[in-house]
Amino acid sequence: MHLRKIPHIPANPVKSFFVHMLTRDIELQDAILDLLDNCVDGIQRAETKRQLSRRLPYEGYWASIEFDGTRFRIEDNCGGIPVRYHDYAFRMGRIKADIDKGKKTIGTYGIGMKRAIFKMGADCTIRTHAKDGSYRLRLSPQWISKEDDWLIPVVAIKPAETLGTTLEIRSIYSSVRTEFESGAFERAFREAVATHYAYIIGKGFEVRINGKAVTPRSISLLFAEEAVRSKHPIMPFIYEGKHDGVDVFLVVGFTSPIPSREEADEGLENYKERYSSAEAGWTVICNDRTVVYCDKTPLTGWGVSGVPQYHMQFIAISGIVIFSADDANLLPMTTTKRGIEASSPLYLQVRDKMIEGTKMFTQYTNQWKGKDLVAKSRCEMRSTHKATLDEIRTRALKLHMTATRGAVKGKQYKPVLPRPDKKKTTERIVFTRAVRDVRRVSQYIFDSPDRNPSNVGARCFDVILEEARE
Amino acid sequence: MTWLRKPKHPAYHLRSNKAIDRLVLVELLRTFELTHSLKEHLYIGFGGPFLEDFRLLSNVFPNLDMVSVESDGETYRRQKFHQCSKKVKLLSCRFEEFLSTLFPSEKPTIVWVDYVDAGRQELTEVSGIARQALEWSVLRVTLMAETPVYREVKLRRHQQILPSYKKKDFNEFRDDYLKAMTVAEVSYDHDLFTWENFKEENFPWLLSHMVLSVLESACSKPKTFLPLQVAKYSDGTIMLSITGVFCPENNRDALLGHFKATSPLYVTASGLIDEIDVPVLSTKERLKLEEILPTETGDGTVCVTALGYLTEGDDSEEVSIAKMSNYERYSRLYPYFARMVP
Repeated sequence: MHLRKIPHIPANPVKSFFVHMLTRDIELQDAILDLLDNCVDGIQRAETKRQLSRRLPYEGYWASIEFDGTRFRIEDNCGGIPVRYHDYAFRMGRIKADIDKGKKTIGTYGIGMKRAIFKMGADCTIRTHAKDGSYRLRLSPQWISKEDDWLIPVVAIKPAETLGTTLEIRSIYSSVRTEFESGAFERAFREAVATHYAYIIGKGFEVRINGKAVTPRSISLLFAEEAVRSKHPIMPFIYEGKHDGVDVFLVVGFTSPIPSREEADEGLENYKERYSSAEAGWTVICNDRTVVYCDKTPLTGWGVSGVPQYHMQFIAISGIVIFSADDANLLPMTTTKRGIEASSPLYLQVRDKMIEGTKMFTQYTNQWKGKDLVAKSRCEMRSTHKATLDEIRTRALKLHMTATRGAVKGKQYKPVLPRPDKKKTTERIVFTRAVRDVRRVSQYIFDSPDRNPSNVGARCFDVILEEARE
Repeated sequence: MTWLRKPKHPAYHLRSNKAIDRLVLVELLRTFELTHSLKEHLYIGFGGPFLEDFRLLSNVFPNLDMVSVESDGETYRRQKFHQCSKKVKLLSCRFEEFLSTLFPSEKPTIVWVDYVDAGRQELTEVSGIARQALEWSVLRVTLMAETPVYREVKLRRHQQILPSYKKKDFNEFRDDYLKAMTVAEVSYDHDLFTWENFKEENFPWLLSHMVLSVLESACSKPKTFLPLQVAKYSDGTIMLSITGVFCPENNRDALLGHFKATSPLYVTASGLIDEIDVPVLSTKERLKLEEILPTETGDGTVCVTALGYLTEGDDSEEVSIAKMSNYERYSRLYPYFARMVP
């Protein structure tokens, strides 16, 4: 029997896969943040290394986001999309090329902008003014639905003075329209930008959402004043290192005085109003973008190898780790750029340092949380001030850092935090009993059923103690 | 009338099995030193009131910097009294605190955590050491390895078969035990937590599985833990000692080859547990045995024949021979305890 000739199998991609499938993997908020990331990548490409190493490298640059039930628009002055970047910016996926070599961009897969467009609507127009050309293109509903048409028509436009891009999406999908029309989405998105873009906004970038500028939620840590710095100052743990083309900067410390054990009691009715965990935990930044904000899970070492699980006692502990690399592929982040690739060997090694640092401050908190000691701790903390990340980085240069070894080599400043003088002489006793029994005992001891339960418990103990002494 | 109180610190330093276990560490360090200098290392241990391990190590490695961590205030003062070298730094704090604040990140360490218990706290500390110790650090973990099963399931010690009416109790105990020993990010092989493995003779092996799982999980690649020796012994209580080196993954085979070729004390990582169980012998007996050691068979029979009696009493042939065989293996490390009259 003759074998008939079997034709080759076509394996070219299908447009609808990008339009309908990839968009399922990302939340609307993250899709818009992807567009914002492109703005910042634009600055990285447009600016010189010298400018980018300044204290406020993004000063003068902005992005404005507007949305309502009918359209979404993002406009920036971040240098536009140069013609030579067409292959990267508009193709579905990115061919590995060195086009961004030496630039601390975050785009890795060449999918962010397209995915964001397809997520939101069926018709998109992009106008851009770059150094090498000004042009307009449209991804129309017809183009999007036509499976075989992979060419996007481009029309030259009159150059503008400010280099930048405007991307406008119409024919918004109904599920997205519902989100855009709700105030809740705008508030949540503003919060996301305030946290995830805090570092970039702190470096001079401006983000406006529906006409109103976003105020960043920056984290500052207590740093002992140099003039009054004692042998055991309240200072953050700082680590700097480099591994296979990735620079790492890590800092962890206290954002505020620690709460006492009683204040951190989650059993108190209004503890959530009185104390906020918002700034506690670990924040991870990759090439200036916050990919994880104030995480309090094992992902960042909480509950691992001697670090306690996060709870209200530790609301004053906050850490930031910054990864930066000229090649975004080396950064330990997920494809959505809003999460950490937890199995990355680099991240796991850095996490060991995060654990080392966190332990110092949980240890301090546990040692000083007692009623009598917490006041002393607060007194010590009065001779500190809140230093921003930028300030810490500058001040770290003056600190005596010791060289560290291991897979991620570098140097670190490990403060020797104060220890309480006294040996522990008291023990806390907590237990729960039925209300009627507590009232009965209260009546028996104090002739009143309504005494504070802790006084009832304490008196019971004292009575037995007297008996035991006899 | 007063109570006769148990001493806080039994004379561990005078117990032969424990003393041998201590010397095994010295021997392993000597073998390790042949490939890797210990010049930079810092020894960290618990010391106890007499700083026995510190005394021993400062004799063999006089340039080794050492830190003793002691949480008990009075024992700390007693240690000061027994301080044997200027190289020994005495610290008064809990080990957990030491690990959080003072554990070195700029030099490799030799850590011996000699615990008297075996719970989650101990395993968590071991995990912390594994995370922080630099490559080429040595770790020895000693844990109490008495099985809790007889007490918890209310069975007599040495019970060999689990009675069917106790199966439910055992299953409940096992689930509780696994929960109690849970360490973040560590997964044990649950199939190993059987009645057989909870029995007195096998429990040290099960515990070693748990410790090695903790160590494996806490090492971030390329750092890996290479076990060199796992031993159980009794100094009144059954103890388990695991000794190994944190080394880069790509140096593991070479280091393994070195220990296999050089150290008779190396026990492979394939789940074997060495036993240190020597008989108590007088100096006269030991001098007699010196005349015939090493024997051709090494199985204890020649030694028993040479002495002409069983060291463990009537009907103890099997035990006496086994103990004598163990003596043959460790005779070089068996200490001579002598009474000195001042």
